[in-house]
Amino acid sequence: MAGMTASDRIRRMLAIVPWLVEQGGASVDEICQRFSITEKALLADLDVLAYTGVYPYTPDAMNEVSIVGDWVRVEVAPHFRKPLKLTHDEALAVVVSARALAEMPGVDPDGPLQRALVKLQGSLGDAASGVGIDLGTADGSILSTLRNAIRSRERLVITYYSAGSDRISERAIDPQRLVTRDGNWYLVAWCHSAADERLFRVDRISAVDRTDETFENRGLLGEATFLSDIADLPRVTLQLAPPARIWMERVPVVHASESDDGQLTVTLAVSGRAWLATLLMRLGGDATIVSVASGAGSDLTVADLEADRAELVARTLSRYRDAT
Amino acid sequence: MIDKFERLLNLMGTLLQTRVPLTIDEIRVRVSGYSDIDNFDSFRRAFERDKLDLKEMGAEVVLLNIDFGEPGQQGYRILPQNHYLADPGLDGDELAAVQLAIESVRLDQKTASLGLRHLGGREVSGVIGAATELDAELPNSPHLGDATMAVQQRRTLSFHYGGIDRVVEPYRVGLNDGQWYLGGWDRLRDAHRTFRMDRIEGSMAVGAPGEFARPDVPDQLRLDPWRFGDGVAVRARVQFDRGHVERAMAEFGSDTEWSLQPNGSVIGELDVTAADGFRSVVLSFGDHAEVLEPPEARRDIIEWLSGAVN
Repeated sequence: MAGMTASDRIRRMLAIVPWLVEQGGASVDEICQRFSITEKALLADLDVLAYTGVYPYTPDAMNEVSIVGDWVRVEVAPHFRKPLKLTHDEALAVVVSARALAEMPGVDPDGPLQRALVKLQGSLGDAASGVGIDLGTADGSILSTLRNAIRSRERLVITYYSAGSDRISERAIDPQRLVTRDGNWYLVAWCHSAADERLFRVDRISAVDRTDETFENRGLLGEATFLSDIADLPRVTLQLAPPARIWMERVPVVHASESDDGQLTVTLAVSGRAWLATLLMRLGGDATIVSVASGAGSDLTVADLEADRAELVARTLSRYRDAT
Repeated sequence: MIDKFERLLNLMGTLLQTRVPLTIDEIRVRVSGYSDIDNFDSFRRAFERDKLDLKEMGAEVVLLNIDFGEPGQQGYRILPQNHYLADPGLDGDELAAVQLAIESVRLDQKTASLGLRHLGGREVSGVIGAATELDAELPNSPHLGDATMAVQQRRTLSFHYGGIDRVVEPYRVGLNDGQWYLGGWDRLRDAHRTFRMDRIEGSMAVGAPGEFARPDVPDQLRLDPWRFGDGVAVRARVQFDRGHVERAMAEFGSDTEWSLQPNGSVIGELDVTAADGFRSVVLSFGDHAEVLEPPEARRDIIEWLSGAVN
């Protein structure tokens, strides 16, 4: 019960009691499971509840708790029988979560979530009014095709642009899960080309072909992929002039430090040389490569990365110079 | 000595049950837990602290005139309408859908889960979406509660941002690109501004309700990098190579006019008010995108690229 204040305990009690009254009683186990509370904490709180009441604290003015075997019943004053209003933060968290899920592709516009949202709006008031939710840019029809394939366990062939290698390829995949983070949608899938779990950014999938083949669910969650993706990658340290800062917002930075004159030194986990070259081109003269710490089995040098950048810049420049 | 949990429950029960506001002396006599504090000042301090605790948990103690009391006499009550949930009457499947939303959308699961239990739901385990095929990890911000309340009740917000003290009339809170933003009228700079909430330095002070009239502003916060800033809008055309079309459309959104080309590439036409943001996003496509117009944007890219390799 570390960190639990008296008011946290009261709010919990005021959630448990109305429910218990409505159920006409419940077992200790069921209460503990439902309200994520330990048996010890529950019994301690119920014990105190039995000592509370209102003036003049005669037996009829006291709350009653009976525990027979493991069966709990309460007899409480009327003002404890109704559920408590949600705090602004609670109402906000509930409504924003529901609205965010409702924004996701493939959610039935007349389904239970939408109906719940209408009812919550009426009951919780305007806790989440004026709040806009944009979960990330991705093609809605691709997202819903992926979601349907996850549900029906249908194997897909996707055309995918890999920023790390700057290549477009076709891969057969078993889609498992859609994840949105940092404004991007990702698909967690088993990739048959790689014979491994892979994470695909949905906005880099340019086409999805259905196969009518089904697969066995592997229960991949993508959590491990998110972590290992970063763990094994080479680290590159850059020095950035102040204007470069705002373009780094969506770049996964492992470490950052700032000097007094506003120069920023950042270390990145680099998923591919082509990706880094593109980033460096965006940053232009505001970025300098300081050092490289290679991952296992790779011996990248600063000179390699400089060469990648120069080559990409030359290729891009040629598009402008040839035509001008 | 009665434990604080017990005393707060008694105080709350007493102030909820009474129909007439109770004077401070009545409270001292009636609430078991106060009656054994001998010294009036100590009692008073304990009562003030308890009121704050009750307020924090949503039971606000209000001070009211006592109608049939001596003139000017005041007392305390918790008003039932401020205290109880207006039951939304969620059906089983609706409650389950909200529960699933809280499991799938990891915004502030703990707080959402605490709210859910008052709605009759089961607390959410917090185990990473084992049961869900969708998983949205939304960032949480300590300012989200205050900022939304300020938008709804037209309260000003004062905070330190970008090294400057700001007083802002907020009108919108939005999640874009995985970040929470606050949009509002910056009183000191006399202009509309968008703030990234994770960059707000230190705490945020919230003003009184109804301090300003809500301005007539577009529903969306404008956050596209090529639309940051206050420059004059310039019409630009950009070509994206075949294979990069979906990504271009996702990046440049719906305000852009698209025309597919016979070779599979696409040309997008859009208004640009921030040249540096425009350049940066175009260059994120590497050599798979080319600005066609206007000529000054082409020159800007040539200069930028020439500077990049020196």
